Amino acid sequence: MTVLVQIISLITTAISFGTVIMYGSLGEILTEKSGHLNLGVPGIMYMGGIGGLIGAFIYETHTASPVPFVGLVIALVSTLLCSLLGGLIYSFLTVSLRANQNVTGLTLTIFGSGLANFFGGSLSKLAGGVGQISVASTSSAFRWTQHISDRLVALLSAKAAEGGFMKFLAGLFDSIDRIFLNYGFMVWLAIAIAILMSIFLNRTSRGLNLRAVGENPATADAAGINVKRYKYLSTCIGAMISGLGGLYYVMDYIKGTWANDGNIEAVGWLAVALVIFATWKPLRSIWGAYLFGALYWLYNFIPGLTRSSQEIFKMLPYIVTIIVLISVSLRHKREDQPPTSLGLSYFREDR
Amino acid sequence: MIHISKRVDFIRGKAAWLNPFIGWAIRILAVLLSLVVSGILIYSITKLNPIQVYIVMGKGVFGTSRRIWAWLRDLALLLCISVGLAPAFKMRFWNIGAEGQVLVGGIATAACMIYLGNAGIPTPIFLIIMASASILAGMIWGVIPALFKAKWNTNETLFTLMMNYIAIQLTSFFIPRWEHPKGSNTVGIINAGTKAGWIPALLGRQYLINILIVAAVVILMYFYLKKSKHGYEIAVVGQSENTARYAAMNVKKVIIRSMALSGAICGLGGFLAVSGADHTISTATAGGRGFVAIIVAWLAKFNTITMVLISAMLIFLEKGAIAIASEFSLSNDVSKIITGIILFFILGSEFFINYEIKISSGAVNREAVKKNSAGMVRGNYWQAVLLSLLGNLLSGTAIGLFVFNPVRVGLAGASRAVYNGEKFRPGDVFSRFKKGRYLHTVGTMALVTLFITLGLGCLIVPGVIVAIGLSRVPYLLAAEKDGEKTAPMDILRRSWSMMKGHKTDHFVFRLTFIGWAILNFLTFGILGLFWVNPYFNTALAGYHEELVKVESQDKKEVC
Repeated sequence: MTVLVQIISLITTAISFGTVIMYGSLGEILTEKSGHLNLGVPGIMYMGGIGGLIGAFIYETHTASPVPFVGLVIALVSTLLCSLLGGLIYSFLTVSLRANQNVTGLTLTIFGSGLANFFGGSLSKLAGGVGQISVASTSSAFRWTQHISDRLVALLSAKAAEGGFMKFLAGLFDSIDRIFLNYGFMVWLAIAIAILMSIFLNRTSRGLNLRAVGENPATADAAGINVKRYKYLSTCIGAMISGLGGLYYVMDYIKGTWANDGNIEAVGWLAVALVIFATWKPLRSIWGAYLFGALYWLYNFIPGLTRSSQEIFKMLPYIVTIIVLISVSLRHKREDQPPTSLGLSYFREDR
Repeated sequence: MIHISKRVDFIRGKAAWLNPFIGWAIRILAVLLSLVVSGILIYSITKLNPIQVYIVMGKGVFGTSRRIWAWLRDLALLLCISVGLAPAFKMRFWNIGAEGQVLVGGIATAACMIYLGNAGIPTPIFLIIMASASILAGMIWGVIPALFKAKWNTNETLFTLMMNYIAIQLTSFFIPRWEHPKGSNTVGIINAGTKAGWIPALLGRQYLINILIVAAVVILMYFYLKKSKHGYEIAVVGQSENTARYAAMNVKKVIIRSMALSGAICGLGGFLAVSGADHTISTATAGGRGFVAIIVAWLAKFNTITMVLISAMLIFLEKGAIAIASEFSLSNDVSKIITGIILFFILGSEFFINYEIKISSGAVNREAVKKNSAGMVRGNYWQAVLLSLLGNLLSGTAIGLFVFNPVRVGLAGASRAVYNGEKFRPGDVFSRFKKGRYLHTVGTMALVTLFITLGLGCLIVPGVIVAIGLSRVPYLLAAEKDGEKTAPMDILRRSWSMMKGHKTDHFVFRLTFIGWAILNFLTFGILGLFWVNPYFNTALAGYHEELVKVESQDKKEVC
C-alpha cells in the first residue's frame, strides 16, 4: 500500500512540476519552428512570473477586499505583457538587427533573472521581509478546478455512508481525484495549448508556412511568405507561452509567493532540454514534461539515498536529453530533426 | 524605400584607416546610450540621481587598491574563460558549456586540495598538479560533445548546454561529501589553517599570480589563433567545413583538438577560481561567468585583446552595481539588469557596424526642394506673402475643425501652385469652402485629427508617427479635381502608403527648418510674416510634389 501511495504521490508531483517545464518548452518549440533558438527562455519565464506576481500584488494591496477572479485576470494580463516584452527584445535584436541568437538569448536570461529577482526582492521588502509576499486570494483563484473536484469528493464521501456501490464510487473518485484532478486550471491549459499547437503546426497552412520559414527561409521568402512577420509572431507568441510557465510556477506551484532561489532558471533550462527530448513536437512534450518532472523528483521516492547521491538522480533529465540528442543525430529520421535553419539569422541578400 | 546591405567600409579611399575607429565609436555610443537608458530606469525605480549613482559605481570599483585588485582578479577569471571559448567559437562550434567546464575544473582542484592538502607536497609542484588536474577535467568535459559533433554531427549548442547541468549536479554531489562543518551543506574554506593548495601571494599581492597566468594565456592564444597552423585550420573549418575538407584538412581532428583546448582553458579557469580566489567550491563557483564569457567572446569577434576591454567593462559593471546595491540598499540583481541593458545595446549596435542602410532611389532630394521653393517664393514674392498671411492668420485665429482645416487644405493646394510656378491667387485659401467640397474636406480632416489625437494619447511618439504618416492628406485633398470624391479612409490609406519609408526623411526635412523657426521667434514673428512662412509652406508643398514624382518613378522601375 505504501508503494502505491508513493507512486500516486510521484505522479502528482511529476504533473504539477512538469507543467512548468511544459509551458517553457511549448513556447520554445513555437519559437524554434521559425528557426530561432531562444536561450532566453529562463529569462522570459522569470519575467512572466514576476510580472504576474507584481500585477496581483498591486491589485491585492490596493483593494480592500480583492476578488480572486479579477486578480487572476490581472496576473494573466501582466504576465503576458511582461513576457511579450522579453519576446520583443529578442526578436527585434535577432530578426530586425540580425544579432547572434545564442548571445542575445543568454543576455535575455541574465536580464530577465536580474529584473525578476530585483523586483521580487523589492516586493519582499514592501511586504515586510523575505518570504512575506503572498497573494493568497489570487493564488487560490488559480486552483479553482481543484476546488471543484474537492467539492465533488466531499459530496460523494457524504453519500458513501450509504454503503455498497456509492462507497465504491466514492473511493474510486477519491483516488482519481488524487492522481488526475488535484491541479489548478493551468495544468489543463498547458495540455490544451500543446494540442492546439500541434494542430496548428501540422494541420493548417499557416503552420506549414511557419515550418517552411524555420527550415529554409530563403525558399519561404521566394514562395511569398512574409518571413519577418512569421519570425516575429512566433518568437513573441512563444515568449508569451513560456511566460505562462513562470506565472504557473509562482501562482500555483509555490502558491503565490516569491523565492530568490534560482529555481525558475533551472526549470527554464529543463524546458530547453525538453524541446530536444520532444523532438520539436508539442504532443510529445506533454508526456515528456511529466517524465522530466518524475525524473527530477525521483530521488524523493527512492529509499536509502544520502544527500549526496540524491544529486546524481537530479542529473537524469539532462542525461536523458543528451541520449535523445545523440540518438536523433544517429538515426537521421527526417521528422525528428531540428529545424534546418535553427540558429541562423536570415538575410535576404545573403544567398 | 529602405535598402539594407552588407557594409564593406565606412569610408573608402585615403581615410580608410579610420574604419575600425568608427566601428568602436558606434559601440561606445551604444554603451553611452545604454547608460542613459539604465539611468532612466534607475531613476524611475529609486528616484536617485543617476549621475550620483554612476559616481558611487566608480568609487565602488576603483575606490581603494583592494577593490581594484578584486576587480582585476574577477576580470582575469572572466577573461580566462572567454579566451578559452575563442578557439571553439572561431570554429563556429557553439560551446555553451563553459560554465560546466569551469565547474569540473573547480571540482578537480578542490579534490586535490582536500585529499592531497596534508601530504606535504611543495607548493609549486602542488600547484602544477592541481592545474593539470583541472585542465584534464575541463578537457574531458569539452571533448565529449566534440566527439559526438565530429562523428555524428550532434548539435553541440544543446549538448554543451546539458553538460553544464550535469556538472552542476556533480558539484552538488560532492558538496555533502566534502562539507565543513558537518551539516552546513557548504564546503567552507578549504585548508583554512594550512593554506595548502592556495595560490600564494607574489610580491605581496594576493592575486598577482592569477593575473599573470591569464595574461600569459591571452597572449599565447592570440598568437595561436593568428599565427599558427592550427589557428589557420580553425578559421577555415569555421568558414566552411567543405573548403577545409577540400584542402585536405582533417575536420574531425580539428574539431576535437580545438574543443580539447577550449575545455582545458575553461578548466584552468576553474582552478583559478577555486585555488586562486574562493578557496572553496559551490554550484556558484562559475557563477554564470561561463555564460557571460560567451557574450564576451562573441562581441570581441574572437580577438583575445579586444576581450580584455570587454571583460574589463563587464566586471566593472558587475562590481559597480554591487556597490550601488549596498550603498542604496538595493538588491545585487541591479547588476544583471544593467549588464543586460548594455549588452542589448552593444548587440544591436553590431547591426549598424556590419550593415549599411541606404534610402535608395526613392528619396526626395531635400536640398533641391528647399532651393526651388526659395526661388519660387522670390519670384512671386508679394502674392506668396499674402497667401501665407491669409492662410496662417486664419488657421491661427479661426479655431475649430470647420474653418481651420479647409483653410489648411486650400493653403496646401495654393502652395503647390507656388512651387510649380503655376497661377494662383491669395484668395485660393478659401477654395475649399465651395459647396460639395466643404463637408468632404471637413470630414476627412476630422478623421486625421482623430487618429493623431489617439496616437498622442499613447505616449506622444505614436502620435508624431501618425501625424507624419497622414501629412499627405491635405495635399491629396487639394489635388482632387472638381466633382471627384475619394472615400475619406482611402485618402488616409493613400497618404500612409505614400509615406512608407519616407517618414524619417520627412521628419528630418521639417527639422531642418528649426533655425528659421528660432529666428522667427527672435524677431517676434515679423521675419515669419515676410519670409519664413511662405518659404516653409512652399517647401512642404514642394516635398509633396517631389514625393509624387519619386513614387511614380519607383513604380516604373518595378514594372
